[in-house]
Amino acid sequence: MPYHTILDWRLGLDMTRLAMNSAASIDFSQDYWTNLLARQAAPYFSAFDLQTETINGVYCGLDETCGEAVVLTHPLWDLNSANYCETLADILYILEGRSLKPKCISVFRALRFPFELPE
Amino acid sequence: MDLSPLPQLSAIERISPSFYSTSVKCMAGAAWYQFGPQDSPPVATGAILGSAFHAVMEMANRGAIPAGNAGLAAAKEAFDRQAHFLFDRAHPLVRIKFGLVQNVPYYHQRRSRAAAMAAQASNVARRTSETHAARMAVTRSTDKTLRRLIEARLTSADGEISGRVDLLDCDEGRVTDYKSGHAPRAGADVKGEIRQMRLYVHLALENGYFVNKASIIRGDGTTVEIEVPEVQAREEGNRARAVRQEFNAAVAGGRALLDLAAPAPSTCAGCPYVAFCEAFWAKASPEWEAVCGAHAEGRVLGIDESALAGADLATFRIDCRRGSTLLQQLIVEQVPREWLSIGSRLPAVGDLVRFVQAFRAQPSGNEQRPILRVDRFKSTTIWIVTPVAVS
Repeated sequence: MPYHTILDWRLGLDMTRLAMNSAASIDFSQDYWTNLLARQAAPYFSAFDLQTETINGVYCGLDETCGEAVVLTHPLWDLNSANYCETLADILYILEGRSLKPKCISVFRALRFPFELPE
Repeated sequence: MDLSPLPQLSAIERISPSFYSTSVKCMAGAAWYQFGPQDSPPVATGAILGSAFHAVMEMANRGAIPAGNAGLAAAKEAFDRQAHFLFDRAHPLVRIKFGLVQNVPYYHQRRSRAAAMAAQASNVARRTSETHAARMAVTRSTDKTLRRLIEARLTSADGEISGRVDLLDCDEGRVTDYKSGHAPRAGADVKGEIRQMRLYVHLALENGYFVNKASIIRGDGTTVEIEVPEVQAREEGNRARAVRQEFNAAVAGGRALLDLAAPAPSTCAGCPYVAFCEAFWAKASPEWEAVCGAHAEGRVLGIDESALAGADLATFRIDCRRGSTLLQQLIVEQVPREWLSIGSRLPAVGDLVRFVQAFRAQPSGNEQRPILRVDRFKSTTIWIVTPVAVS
């Protein structure tokens, strides 16, 4: 199996932070994520004609006409609604409040498969 | 865990909307809730989130949540406060399973929604109190000059029906009930909710508040509203009185709690008293599983110990003879030892045990016997019915 493409040093750093402190916040506030997303999020969304907007520090792509939204989530966030973290729960509710139907894709996947949107 | 003794019944002076809507399906379930010990069975975590949602909406309806982000933060804080309070007093099994209240399923989803809904409701409440400056809403008051009643207890003129209304808005002619869960699936039975709402309207009318609408606002943000003509409300009130009379007659006639049970797949689905309800075990069959979930009673044939990620686990082989799952030898897989630690002792080989709210998985690997798994969302519990005789 070609493991090289799934080795991710940012994710590795987050796992290390978690190992050192189980209460470490897992989000995009670390420089290594901020810089990456500042460069990559907008081009990813614009390829699908989505408007980029950051909500609570998370990049979202919006199509207000079609009522759709895509949220770039942290790879360690659980996308099962029973286990949403606070940040994701807030963002999804904000988007729903704007009559948008949000879908999530992990940044890990989005940047490796930039031609893919969540189903 | 050990099965607790059945509660003693006594006549009810007043019937509440929740007792009424439950007893229409199963009078034993309603009576259990009314007379049973509050700490057994383990409360479903949904009840903790529901109570926290109510606490936030109560604040909001008093206009006590400021506008903007400060309001969202205040609403979340109120939600956390109530949820922590209840979690700290919850059944030990609930605390063992989740450790922290934030780990309860749907915690953050429900909290975010509650906060946003509360911020909105608080704006409306503030506007209302500005227009009715001398008649502001006061929690738990039934002052007739008030235009909005919040969490007010209303009793029918004859004293036979009593219930607490989440919100009564005289200007809108509406009672509102908050329900923390999701909207029921299309086609689901919502008759119980409709009965409850009609009864609230009846209580409002009996107390001199003109109301002809009832709405349910859910934790997922959806709202449904129904018109309730006075005649419908009165009929519902009379049905509730009849149920009260029927229940009291049963108590006076010396009927025991289990005589009042009406086990059926849809009635027993989600019922927290299944483990204690002999009527359920006498009637349930494997065909019930699709609607009612997997509940199994059987003798323990063997217990295998294992460990995973630092947790000690027990896997049971049981000879399932009754319940709403396959009646044959079953494997109940990887039950955390900690979950079994509550009660007088651990289940042992030979014990008759009940596994309720389990999840049936497909057999895998070399294991051909059906497998039951413990389920975090469904509140799986394990009960010792009859300990093995000690010689």
